[in-house]
Amino acid sequence: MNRKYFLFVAICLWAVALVPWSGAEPISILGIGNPKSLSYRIFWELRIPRLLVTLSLGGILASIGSAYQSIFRNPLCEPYILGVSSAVLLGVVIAETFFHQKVGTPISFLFGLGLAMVLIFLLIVFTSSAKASSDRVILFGLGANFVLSAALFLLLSVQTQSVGGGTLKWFFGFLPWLEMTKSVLFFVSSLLFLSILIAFSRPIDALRLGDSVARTLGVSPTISRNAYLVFTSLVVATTVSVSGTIGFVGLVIPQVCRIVFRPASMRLLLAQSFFLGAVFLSVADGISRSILPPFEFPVGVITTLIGGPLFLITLWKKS
Amino acid sequence: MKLAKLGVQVRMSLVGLVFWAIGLAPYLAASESPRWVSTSPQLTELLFQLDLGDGLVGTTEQSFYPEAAKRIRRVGQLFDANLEAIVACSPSLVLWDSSSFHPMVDSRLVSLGIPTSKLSLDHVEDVLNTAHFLVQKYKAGKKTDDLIRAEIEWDELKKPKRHFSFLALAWGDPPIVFGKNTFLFSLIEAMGGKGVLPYFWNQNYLKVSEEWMMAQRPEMLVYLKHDEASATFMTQQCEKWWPKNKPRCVGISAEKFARASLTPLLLVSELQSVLGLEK
Repeated sequence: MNRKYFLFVAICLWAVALVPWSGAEPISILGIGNPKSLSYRIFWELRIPRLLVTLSLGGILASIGSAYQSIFRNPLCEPYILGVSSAVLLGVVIAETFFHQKVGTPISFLFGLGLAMVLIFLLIVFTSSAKASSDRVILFGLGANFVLSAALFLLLSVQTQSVGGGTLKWFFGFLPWLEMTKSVLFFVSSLLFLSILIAFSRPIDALRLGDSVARTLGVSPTISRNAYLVFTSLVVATTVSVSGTIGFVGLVIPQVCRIVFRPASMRLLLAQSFFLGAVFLSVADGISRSILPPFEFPVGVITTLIGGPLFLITLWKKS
Repeated sequence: MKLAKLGVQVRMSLVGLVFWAIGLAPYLAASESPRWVSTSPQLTELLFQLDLGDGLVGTTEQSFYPEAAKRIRRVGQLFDANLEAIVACSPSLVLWDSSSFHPMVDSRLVSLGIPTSKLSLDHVEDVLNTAHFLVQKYKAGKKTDDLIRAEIEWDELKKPKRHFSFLALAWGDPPIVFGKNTFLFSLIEAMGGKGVLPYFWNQNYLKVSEEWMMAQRPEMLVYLKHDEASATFMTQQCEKWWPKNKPRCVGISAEKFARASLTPLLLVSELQSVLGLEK
C-alpha cells in the first residue's frame, strides 16, 4: 500500500511539474534561466504564478467539498451547494448589466461578494434556529440556488449578446493571471486555510457520525456546523469572485480520495483532498491552455470532461 | 597606430564623430520600429487604413482586411485575446478595442511593463476620433488619403435630406438587431434614418422575438447580406412579419458595411445607392 501510495504521489508531482511547460507559446529549457529571454518571462512571470493559483484553488475547493460531505453526511455535497456561487455570479452579472462593470473590475468583485454576504447572513439566520438539521440546510441551499440561478438566467436572457464572451466564459471557470507576489500570497493563504480546517476537524469527525452522537461527544452540531459553513462560505465566495465556478473538483476529488487513499481520519482526508484537488485543477488548466492555442478553454469544462470518466472508472473498479 | 601620430584635423574629426554619434543615439533608439498588438479585427483594419499596420505584430482571429492582416500572428479569438500569446509577441504597445477590453488581462499587461491603450470604435464618431488620436500620436498629425476621404464623406452625411424609420438586423433567425451603440446603426441614422428601438435599449446587439418584429412598423429593414440564400430567406421573413404593409427590405454587403472602420465611410455613396437614398 505504501509503495503504491508513494508511486501515486510521485506521478501527481510529475504531472504538476509538466504543467508550466504547456500553454499558448512554446518555451525553451535554456531560456528559462536567462532573465532577458521571452521564455523566462512567460515561465516565471506568467505560468508559475498561474500554477500557484490553480494549486490553491483546486486544493481549497476539494478540501471544502470533503468537509461539506462529512458535515452533511451526503456524498453529493460540494462547495457550491449553499448557493454562494450563484449569488456571486448574479452580483457580477448585475454589475455588468446595470453598471457596465466588466468581470474582473473591483466593483464587479464587490457586487459579487456583497450579494454572497447577504446570502450568508440569511443562512446564519436560518441555521440559528434549533430545528435546522443538516438536511434543512441543504434544502435552503438548493432553494437559494434555484432562485438566484433563475434571476441570473433572467438577466442573461435579456442581455445575451452584451454579456456574452468574457462573462459567460467566466461562469465555467476562468483562472486569473495574477502577479507572482499575489499568487504566492494566494497560495500561502490556501495553506493557511487548510491548516485551519485541519485544526478544527474534530467537530467534523463528530458530525460525520450524526447530530445525536456528536452531542454525546460534546460537540454542538448547530454551533459547529454554522461556524464551519460561514467560514467556508466566505472562502467559496472569494474563490468564485476570483475564478468563476469550477465544477466537479469539490464533488469528485473527496470521493476519489476516499476510494484511493482510504483515510482513517478527517484530517487526513482534508489534506489528501487538498493535494489531489490542487494536482487535478492544475493539470486540467494546463490541458485547457494547450488544446487549441491561443484559445483558452474554460477550465470547468475540462475538469468535468476529465474528472467524469475518471470518477466512473474508479467507481467501477471499486464495485 | 598611435593617436599621437595622427594629424590635428583627423583627431578633431574623430572627436566630432563621437559627439555626432552620441547626439544621434537617442534618435536611433526612438526610431526603433513599434511592435503593436491589436485586439480586434476592426482595429487592425483601421490601423492599416492609417498606414500604421506595419507596426502590428499580433491581432485576433477574423482579421481578414486588408490582405496583409492575414499574415499577422494571431493572439486569440475574435474578441478574446490570450495574455501569454500577447506577451510572446514582445509588444511595445497593446491597443484594446473597448468592446473586447478585458480588465484582468489589461492590468496584468501593465504590471508586466507593457503599455496599453483603450480605444472605442462603437459609433462612426468613435472611429473618427480614434483615427485622429492615432494619427496625432503616432504619425505627427499626417492624415492618410483614406482618412481625409472618410472625413469628407462623413461631413456631407451630417445633412440628412430625408427621414425614415428603420430596423437593422445582424442576424435573421433568430432575429438579432443592431443596437444603438453600433457603428452600422449610427451610420444609417446619419443618413437620415430613425431607429425604431425603444430609448432604453442601449445594448450593442439584441436578440428579439418574432412577435416583437411583427409589432414594429419600420419603413426600411436593413439586413446583412452574406449570399443569395440569406437574401431569399430575409425576403420570406419580411413577408411573414409584415404581410400587409411590407417595409423596404434591403440587404447590404456584410463584407463591406458590417465593419467598424473607415471602409463603410469610404463606400458611403454605394451604401446610399443600395438603400435608395439620394446623396
